[in-house]
Amino acid sequence: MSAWFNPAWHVPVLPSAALLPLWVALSWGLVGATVLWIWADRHRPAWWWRALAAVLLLSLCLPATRAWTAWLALALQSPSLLGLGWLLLWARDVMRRPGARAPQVPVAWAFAGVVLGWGLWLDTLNLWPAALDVPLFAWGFSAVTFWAVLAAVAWMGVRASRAGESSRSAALLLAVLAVFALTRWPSGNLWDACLDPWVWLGCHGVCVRAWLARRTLRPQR
Amino acid sequence: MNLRGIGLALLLCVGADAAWRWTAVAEGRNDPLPAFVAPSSAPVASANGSTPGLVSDGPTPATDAGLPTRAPRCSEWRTVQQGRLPMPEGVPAAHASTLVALAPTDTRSPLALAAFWFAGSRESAPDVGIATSRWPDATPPGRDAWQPAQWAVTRDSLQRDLGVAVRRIGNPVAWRDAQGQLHLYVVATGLGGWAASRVVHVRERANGSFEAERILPLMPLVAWLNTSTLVRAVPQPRVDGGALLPMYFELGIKYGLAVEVGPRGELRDLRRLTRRHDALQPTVVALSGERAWAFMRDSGPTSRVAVSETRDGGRHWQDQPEVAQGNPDSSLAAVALPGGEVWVAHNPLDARRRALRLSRVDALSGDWPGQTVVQGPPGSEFSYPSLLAWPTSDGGTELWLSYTDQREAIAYARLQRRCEERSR
Repeated sequence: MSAWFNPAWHVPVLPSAALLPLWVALSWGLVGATVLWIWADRHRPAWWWRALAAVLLLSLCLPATRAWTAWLALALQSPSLLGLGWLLLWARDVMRRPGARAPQVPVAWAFAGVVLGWGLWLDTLNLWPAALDVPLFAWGFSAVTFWAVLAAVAWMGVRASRAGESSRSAALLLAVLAVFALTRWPSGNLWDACLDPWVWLGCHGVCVRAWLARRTLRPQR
Repeated sequence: MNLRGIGLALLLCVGADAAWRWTAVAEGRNDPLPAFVAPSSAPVASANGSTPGLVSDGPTPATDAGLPTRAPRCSEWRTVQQGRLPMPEGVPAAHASTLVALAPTDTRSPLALAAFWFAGSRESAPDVGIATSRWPDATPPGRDAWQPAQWAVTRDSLQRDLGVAVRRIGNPVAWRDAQGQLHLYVVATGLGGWAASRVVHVRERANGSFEAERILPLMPLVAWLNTSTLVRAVPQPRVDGGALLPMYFELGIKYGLAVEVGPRGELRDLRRLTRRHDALQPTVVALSGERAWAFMRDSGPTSRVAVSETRDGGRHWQDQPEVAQGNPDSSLAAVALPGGEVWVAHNPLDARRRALRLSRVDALSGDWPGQTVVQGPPGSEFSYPSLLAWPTSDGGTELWLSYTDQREAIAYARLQRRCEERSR
């Protein structure tokens, strides 16, 4: 059997069980601290919010004080790598340029996120038409899916780079794919690394805004 | 980001992913769906009367419909031992038991098994944990040998091991892997009650205690939708030491899932068992290496047992619409005996949960002949059965049945019968 069709390429590779509690605490700690840091850029006194962000990060050091992350995980499990990376990118922008706006997401990428999210809903609710029984979520464990997404992101990055456009979104996604490839966080499934409900809602927001902008710009008859 | 950066990122991603995949290959995880452990070479009649291994698309001769072709002539099952399992001290409620065979230490009397169930002040109470009791080997015949119940898993132990808070604990399922290590798959809920159920994989440690390993990633969009997945019935073993672990989704709609685990309990595949939206709590029984039935509880208006069938080792499952056997929206347990007979423990439609029957499935479409194992007055409940087949010293097989008794305790019955081979 050709190595390309080896079933091992489709077997789930899950993250180390020993490191999962670390991921839960670290991911929610970083999300909390980053949100506070960005908040501090617009709300006074800034030092107070930044001190609170530092306290949140420090609280991760002790099992007793990081219990808040376990309670967040009770309701929300864990954030996606993409959502976390996007927040970190925004916090970095704010540190460099106070008042910096949220990093822009290309509409085409947001649309892809919207479609993927709805596909995963259909998958979860067992609503695929009988002739189209697609194991979409299970495909997220496959190496073939990972390589296909990786190739698509790299191609978009190369295209943007050659056109002299911003390739920040491609760089962010490549960083997310690299962390996923190294750690398999958060669950070993690529879709979980790229999409969480907050990211999915954000993708809807980008698409709706782009649609409204197009309607506004359309010449009136 | 320049082209060099993109190239470096590509190299890193491909290298890291390939390294993980090669590790999987080196561990022998390159066949996600090896054959089922078949009960024996003796065939069982199928839904349309054909026999596994001799599949034909044409109509089945009437002479083949019904009994397995080499079914032994046997007496009814006789209860030789029964009673209630010991409960943890001061605990008034119990439900959803599961039986598992243990590795024997005494070859002269190798019967060794364990039961796991959830117990607490009431179902869905914060103090509910997974209790266990063992029946050790080398027990003299006729003696009730269940050991005092102990806690295997509690809410606190799950929270400590996972770093994730847990609201409630529910159904457990036990499985012994190829190395003899016990695994528990336990339902744990997040915010939102049973609708927010997740399945936690728990391993037995060398000292006999249990440690939660991870929440199984079974549904997408981690925060909201990896949810509402539950376990109920025991796994169906695969020839490489892995198993098909039946699970189900239950959030408004209900459907069965087949989760494949490897010889060490690692997740290796995930498929749907049915296209229906009202079939839950699947129990899977293999008829041959490639063929299996999944019996499911029916929560729909038809009140008929839902059955799905695979003929390719679990790659594809097909709903079987012609099943006539009633199901009062209650859990079933199925087991295949070495001769190829399939037995199902279930609540009959007329008596609902106040009776528990043991029925032989010769063909899906007809009536299932059987006998009532336990029956009580109106208002009583004997439900959520678990079945285990165990070889006896005389070459036969005995059945161990555990079930919820009035939601107060877990009861068990040990059933035997006399058989003589039918000469043809």
